[in-house]
Amino acid sequence: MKTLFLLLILSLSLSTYSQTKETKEIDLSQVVKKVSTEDYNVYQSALRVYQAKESITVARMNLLPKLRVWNLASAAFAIFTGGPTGAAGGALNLVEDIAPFLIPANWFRVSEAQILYKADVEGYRALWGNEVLTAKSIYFHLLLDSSLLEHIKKNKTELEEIYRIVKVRETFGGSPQKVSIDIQQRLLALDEDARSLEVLINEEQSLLAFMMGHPVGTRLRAKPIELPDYDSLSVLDYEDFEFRAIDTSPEIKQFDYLVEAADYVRREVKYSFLGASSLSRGLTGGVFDSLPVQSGLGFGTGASLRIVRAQKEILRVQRDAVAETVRRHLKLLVDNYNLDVGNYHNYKRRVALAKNSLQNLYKRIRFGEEVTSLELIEASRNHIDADTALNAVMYRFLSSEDKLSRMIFHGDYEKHHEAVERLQKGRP
Amino acid sequence: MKFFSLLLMLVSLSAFSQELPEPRVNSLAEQRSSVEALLSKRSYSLEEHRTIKDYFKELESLVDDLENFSRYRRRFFRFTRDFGVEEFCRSTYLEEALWLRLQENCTQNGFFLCSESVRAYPALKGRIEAIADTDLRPEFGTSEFCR
Repeated sequence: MKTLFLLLILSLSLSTYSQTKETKEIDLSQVVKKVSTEDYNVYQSALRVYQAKESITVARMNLLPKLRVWNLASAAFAIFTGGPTGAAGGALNLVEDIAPFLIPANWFRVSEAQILYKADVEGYRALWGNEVLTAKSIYFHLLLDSSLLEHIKKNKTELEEIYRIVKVRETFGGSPQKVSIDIQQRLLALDEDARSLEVLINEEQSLLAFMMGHPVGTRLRAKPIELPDYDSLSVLDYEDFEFRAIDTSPEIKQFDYLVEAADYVRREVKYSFLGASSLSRGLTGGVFDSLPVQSGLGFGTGASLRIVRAQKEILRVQRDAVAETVRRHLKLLVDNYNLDVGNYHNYKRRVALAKNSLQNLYKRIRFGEEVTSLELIEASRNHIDADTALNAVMYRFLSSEDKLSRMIFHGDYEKHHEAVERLQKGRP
Repeated sequence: MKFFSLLLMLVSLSAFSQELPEPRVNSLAEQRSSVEALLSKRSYSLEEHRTIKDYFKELESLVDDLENFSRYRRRFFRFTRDFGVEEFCRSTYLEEALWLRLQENCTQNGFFLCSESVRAYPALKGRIEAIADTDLRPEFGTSEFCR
């Protein structure tokens, strides 16, 4: 029995181990899809939008009569006994329960809930876009780092060959001993670089797996992507993008909705002498919760109105600040994009020159000509550096392009419609 | 009592002016002409982008009203019948070839830079056709300017 139990535990832990070490091959479209549905932050935001949507129903339904037994009893008591507020007072106390639609503040809360829901949808769109951007950026880095790792391995083989040549020369006295030691040090540094990259790749895989909702330990293998035709790309003009970036920005739209909702809060204060609403405005409406909306007409109403007006102005200023930030980011992105487009040809030429120089040295060695070991090492290092720089600029370009796409909701980011439609259909 | 009647009259007048299809169609026709005037350009300033957006947004708002308010829909298609479906499309719709050119102008290095409503244009036309009165629908589907 004990043996059977032990065997069971062993098989269970083995199956768990095999599950956690599962390797999945993924592509970019799967990343976008999975992050949209599985990412913890996106899902939480979706649930908040769902709450905001249900808040509209709550606000609307609260215009209908409701039953609060103790309120009813105390009102009946006041009516029949003429209590402290008298019979009329008792009846008026019931208005809030029997005819809540007679309180204008409740109507304004319905309108506020509708507007704040739209603000929440924009908030969701912004968060979704940022999460997809982060996940895609990790995917690009994963590809870049994997390609760098391959590159380092290739260069190590190349350097080992040089090491062999130098070693032979040293044996026959054609080269000083110091050179082979230099190469060995370089080989060791390449080993360190490779190990560091492996750790970085593991980290990136783990983070991407987390964002895609895979269990801990899942290893992801990113499928290579088709790189753009860099030669056909031209530089961009910031002015061309400005309209679209401002027009589609969910961050700006969210503030637009809050400014719109502020008008209804002002009306709430204005008509507060007909009663205040006790309904919650939800999470996004929190910006208005600290504003003094008093129940009844008092000497403070004027000041309350001025406070609400100032709050609206604050929101407007915040909106303008966000718009300026969007412009600033856009300018930076377009500059970086243009920098990479402009530099790409330089990097490509550098790789070709470095490769040519190295091949010439090898050719000279084969023909028995004099080549100093230092010359060989320098040429190999130049080749590695130029190749690495070209690789880096190609992926950096992809990242800049994707950030631009996020900013103007283009390409994969157009799928926000699907995400929002899913939300509007009901519970996410 | 007088005040109440005045208020009622004002409310009904404002509602009436909102629902008149003719001024709306004329305004749309003007906006369409403004967009057409921009088609010779390859890139647009902020102001020009707004002009383009205003036209497509106005068309979208018209479709929304037609879908949501049955009374307005009836009045609107009665007007369209008198005005002529083809004439309505000719004056308010952007020809398909011109819309394609606009799409091209709006695209740079693969990025779409105009308002999103530009791309929704064919869908908008489809929505108008779908809610049109049954006798008008075939004309919306076949007329050269409506397609």
